[in-house]
Amino acid sequence: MNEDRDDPIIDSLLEETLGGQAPPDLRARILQTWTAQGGAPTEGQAAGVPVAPGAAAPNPVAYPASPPVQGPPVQGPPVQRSAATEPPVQRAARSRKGILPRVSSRWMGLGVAAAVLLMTTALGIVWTKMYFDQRRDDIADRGPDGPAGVVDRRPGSGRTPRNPAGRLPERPRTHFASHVVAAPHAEVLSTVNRTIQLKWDEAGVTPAPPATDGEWVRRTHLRMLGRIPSVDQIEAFEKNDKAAPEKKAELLDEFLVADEFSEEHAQTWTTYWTNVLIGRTGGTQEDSPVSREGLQQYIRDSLLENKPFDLMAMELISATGTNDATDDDFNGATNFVLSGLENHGALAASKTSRIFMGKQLQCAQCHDHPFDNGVKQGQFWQLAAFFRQSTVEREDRLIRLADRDVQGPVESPHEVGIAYHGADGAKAVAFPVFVDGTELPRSGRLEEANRRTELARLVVESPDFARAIVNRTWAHILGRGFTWPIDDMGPHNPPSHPELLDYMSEQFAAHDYDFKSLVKWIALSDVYSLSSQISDGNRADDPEITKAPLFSRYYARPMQPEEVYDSLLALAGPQAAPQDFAAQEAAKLQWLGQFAVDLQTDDGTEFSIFDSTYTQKLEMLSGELIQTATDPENQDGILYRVIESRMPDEEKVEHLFLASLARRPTPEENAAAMQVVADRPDDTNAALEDLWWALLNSSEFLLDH
Amino acid sequence: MTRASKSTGFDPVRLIEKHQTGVWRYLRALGCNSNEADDLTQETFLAVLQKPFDDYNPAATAGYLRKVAHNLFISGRRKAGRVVPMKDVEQVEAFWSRWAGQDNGEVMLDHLRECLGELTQRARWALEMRFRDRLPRAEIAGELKITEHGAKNLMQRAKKQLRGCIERKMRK
Repeated sequence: MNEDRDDPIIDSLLEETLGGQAPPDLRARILQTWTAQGGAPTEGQAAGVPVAPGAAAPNPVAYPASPPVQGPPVQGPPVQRSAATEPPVQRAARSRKGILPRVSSRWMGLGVAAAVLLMTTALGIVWTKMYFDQRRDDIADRGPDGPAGVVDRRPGSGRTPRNPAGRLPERPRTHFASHVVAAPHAEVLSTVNRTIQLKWDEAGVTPAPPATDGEWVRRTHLRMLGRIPSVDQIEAFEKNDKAAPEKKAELLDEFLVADEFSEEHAQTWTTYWTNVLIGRTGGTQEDSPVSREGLQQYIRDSLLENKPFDLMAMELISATGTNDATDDDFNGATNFVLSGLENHGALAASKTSRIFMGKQLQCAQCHDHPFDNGVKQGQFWQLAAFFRQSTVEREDRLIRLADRDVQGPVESPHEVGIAYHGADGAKAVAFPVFVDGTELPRSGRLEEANRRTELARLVVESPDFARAIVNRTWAHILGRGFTWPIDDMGPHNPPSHPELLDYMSEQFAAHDYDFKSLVKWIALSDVYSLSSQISDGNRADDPEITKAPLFSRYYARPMQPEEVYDSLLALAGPQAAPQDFAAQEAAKLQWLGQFAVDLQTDDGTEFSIFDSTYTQKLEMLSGELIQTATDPENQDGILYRVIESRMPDEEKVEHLFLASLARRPTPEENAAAMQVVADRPDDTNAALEDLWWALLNSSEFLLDH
Repeated sequence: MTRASKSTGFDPVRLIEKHQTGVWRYLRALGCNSNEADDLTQETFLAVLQKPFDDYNPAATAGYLRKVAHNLFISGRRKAGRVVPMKDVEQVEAFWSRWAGQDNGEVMLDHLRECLGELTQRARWALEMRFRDRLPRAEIAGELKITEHGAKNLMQRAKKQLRGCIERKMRK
């Protein structure tokens, strides 16, 4: 199939709708040709048919301008009949006699009319029922304060939040930071910088020097677009002679706000949040109820419309609907809870608590929390009880997540909880109680309390929500959170910068949980602009040892597997990826699947074997993707373009360094590279190929620094 | 043997008038360009007009015409030495009979127009440049300031979204 016609049905409809390629009127042409072949319409049939321009009427049959003349039937060759072209009702005139009765057209008309009347009545009944059902739902939704639904407060967003499941969750009208005024971005940034600086002064550390332009551009591309920058992008940034803070803010705005990179930026964060919510292996097993693609579609759409993050969290926790994108009731958000409803919703409770509250309650699944004295075993199951009404229903190929009324045991049908065994073996029952002590009615009736909807509201109203998201985002961008692990916050694991975490959490809430603002505060901070160099002045800042980071340097870490893949793909050129988008995603998942292992634990732990393992090394040494990226015959790849360019050899070496490492070679590296080239005067291209392969297999290439 | 039609209920003019649009659109969905679709639509009706039948069921007639068109399309491609991906052809046939067989695809076109309104502005621009302005992908990418690869992905995703949207509306 031609790559431009990857969906011929939609393509042809678009060509008609947008391209004006409307179906032509071929009546005249067909009839004239047919007539020329000996067929002839009757006078009544011919009337009104337009004459094809420039066509002559070869037989006496006339069109509207003159009276029709019927000629004699023309004998022609016998008609070849085949089963494939047999019409549905083939009645040869010669064989009709006495075999099948003719149906009077009057009775046929009456029959059709009766059928139409019945159908219309049935449709009317269905429509009326739907109307009144919706009215009842609307009335049930309205609380005392007014109609349900969310007002899109963002001016010019142009898109209404979509809720394919039919009902929007109602955002809380107040939250923990309702009293806080949203500060201007510059003020937030200044506070962040000042607070970090104070800690440096207290600890007596000297921060690392600023990162070079190349380092800053490289890490920003990795964080925001999930891949390394091109040489053009690096050089454009270097040549921009505006002051550093200004040109950095400009580039960040391009990624966060401008249309040019919106899709790529959204896709990068979609990948990140999908991995957080369902892991790298979620939805990849054949029998999994989870649709990875469905969840990604939901997250991508939400990010593209810059949905407030609390609303996104509420939708993920309370989602109902199906996970089939072609179904009316499709809701991609369902895939988060779908990934954790086994074992009475224990995994769903664990993930909700970890991701959206920064609390590892699953540690209290079998006993009281080993480190956080405030978390008892019962609290975990009380949280799991919020998922008690949720059910996975299979309708043919559809998987539906729904909330249904549930009854308790025979002896207490109006008390719906979760039975569990305490650490001492005694059986207990947990009812829905939030971590702050808020209790829900114990009956499992939805009209008394939709437990997941209430849970969603309680989660986002809690100050833990904003703190969890801020901490996680800070860790993703800077390599380390205010706590470690980032999702186990509590008295047993205090944050390194408690005032800063609280301040940023309050401002995040005050800014309407605008995720892009949060990203910007972190990426424009002074600490993000530091190099990753360790020196005597900041050697004491080693989070691996001290556990309390000071952020006196950019914490270098290995690139994520997705970043390596997308970076190699960018270097290999556009033809390296399958042409079809779905096939691209499948190829990427397959490549990534080599490195992620689902440990099948109660808390959904995955193990990544990407870091310096044999699998990774083999893939980087000789895998298909690296072969394509280093193939000198690949005309789309960087290597081919460098080889074929007219640049002198030294510039070619510099270009390869920039393309892979975002920097120019040191004098020593340059000398060594030029020596490699000089040693093969008859095959400079092979020398460059070897150099390129070595660069892509260097530790520095795989490092986010 | 060709024969002049008699008043048996077989009305060639009405047959062409009623079904030509559906056959033409069906052939376009199979992958014909406009000229090919014109020619094959004509051949379809010429083949059918050879064998008059009682056109009492529009859906059955439309299905029969599609079958004739389908066979002519396959034969033509094979004669021209072009590979015919049968699986794709069957998918188009299944989709068309389900959603467009009754009305020549008119409702589907109406839904498409509605669904276009649900795309992001960039996606809509990309499709307009591709289908209305007939710009090559490189130019579309240039206008949108993205890579060619990005432009291709953008359009593919948009078309996938349109198909899903149309199917949802058709199910109602």
